[in-house]
Amino acid sequence: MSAYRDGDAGAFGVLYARHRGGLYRFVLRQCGNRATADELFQDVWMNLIAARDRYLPTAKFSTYLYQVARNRIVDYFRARSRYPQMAEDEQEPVDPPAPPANQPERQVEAHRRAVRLIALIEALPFAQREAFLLHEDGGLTLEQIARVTGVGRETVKSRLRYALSRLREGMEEWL
Amino acid sequence: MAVSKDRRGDEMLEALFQRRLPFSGAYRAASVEEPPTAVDEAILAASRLAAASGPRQLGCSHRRWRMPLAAAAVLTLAAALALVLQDQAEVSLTQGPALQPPRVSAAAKARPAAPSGERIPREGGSIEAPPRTAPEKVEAAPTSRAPGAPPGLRRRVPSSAASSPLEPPTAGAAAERSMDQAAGAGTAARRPPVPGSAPVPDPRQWLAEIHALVAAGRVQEAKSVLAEFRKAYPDIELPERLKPLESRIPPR
Repeated sequence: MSAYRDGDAGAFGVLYARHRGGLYRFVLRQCGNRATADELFQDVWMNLIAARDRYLPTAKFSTYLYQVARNRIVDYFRARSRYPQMAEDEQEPVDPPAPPANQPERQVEAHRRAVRLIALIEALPFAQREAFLLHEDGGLTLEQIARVTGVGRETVKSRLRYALSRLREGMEEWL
Repeated sequence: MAVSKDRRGDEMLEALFQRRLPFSGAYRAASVEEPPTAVDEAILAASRLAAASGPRQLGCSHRRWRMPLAAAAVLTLAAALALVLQDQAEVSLTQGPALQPPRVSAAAKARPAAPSGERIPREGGSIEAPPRTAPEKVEAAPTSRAPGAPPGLRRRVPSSAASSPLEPPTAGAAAERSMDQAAGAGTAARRPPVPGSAPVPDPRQWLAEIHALVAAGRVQEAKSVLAEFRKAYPDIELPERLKPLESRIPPR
């Protein structure tokens, strides 16, 4: 990001390629539908581009990126006058990729398992889902998640424990 | 029961961060959504565009600040200059009046030339209102008694002010010097009539004394001194600050 800030256009391409998938999925799981995810995802990168002159490498870039994304998501829910946690019941479930036709039984089973897992993740409370996704999609550590979400390390651990417990209960028959 | 639940939670947490949690791997396998190509292209195009105009954007940002910064600097300088000039004027009045040359009225200009050696106001000049002077400072200055001034009013010895290191050369001082030079050279203006043979004080010093009296609240004394001044210099235009004082003097 520092290289891009200093005028290296290629550096942005490298960053984007590295983080685009994880960030997109993080946004998608948090907002719940693809159209909104596309819009928010694009906003995050555009904000990053616009604010490149002010970028200071005080933390790992992924921490900075996910912090920007998280702020954008929170703003989105605020603008819709509903707290993110309230959105859980209303959010539109994301359609998982359809299983290819004529696939073996094992693949169908894996697909059903994936659908179940994603549904469970999307049903998690906002803060627990956020902590889980920041680790899974963003690859952030406990400390980085704490920094992005603005809470203490122990709070993050607690959220993750609850999230994992729920996922484990929901996936018990698949494990 | 709770202890075992906590322990299981910690174990799961540890497994999560070691990437060996079964459903963590399952999530990564299932979570394969990608941003649409159109979004990718839009973002990359914007990044290239921004990079191409990067230095200009930085310049624009600086330019946004340039005008307000310049305006603020000019205002600050102007305010500081005004304060410094005011202070200097007060210092010069403390040590002696540094009036600007008085304006000669049209009537005075029309009069015949004065004899050589007489000091007269410079043509085209004007007496501006002298700055306020603290009365105690006037008292403290090296003094000599001004002719025509009421008892208790002291004025400075002119030479001490001229040589004062506290008085930097100002526009007023330059005008004073040029007036003195003009007077020394003996210009064609006529000296105002002076009753008796006693020497008439310099009009600038006189006006400064009047102003000092006004500033000290000694208005009656100021009026009487102004009346004396008017007898000696009927044609000199008074500074704006002293004009109200003159209007209160009953016409002779």
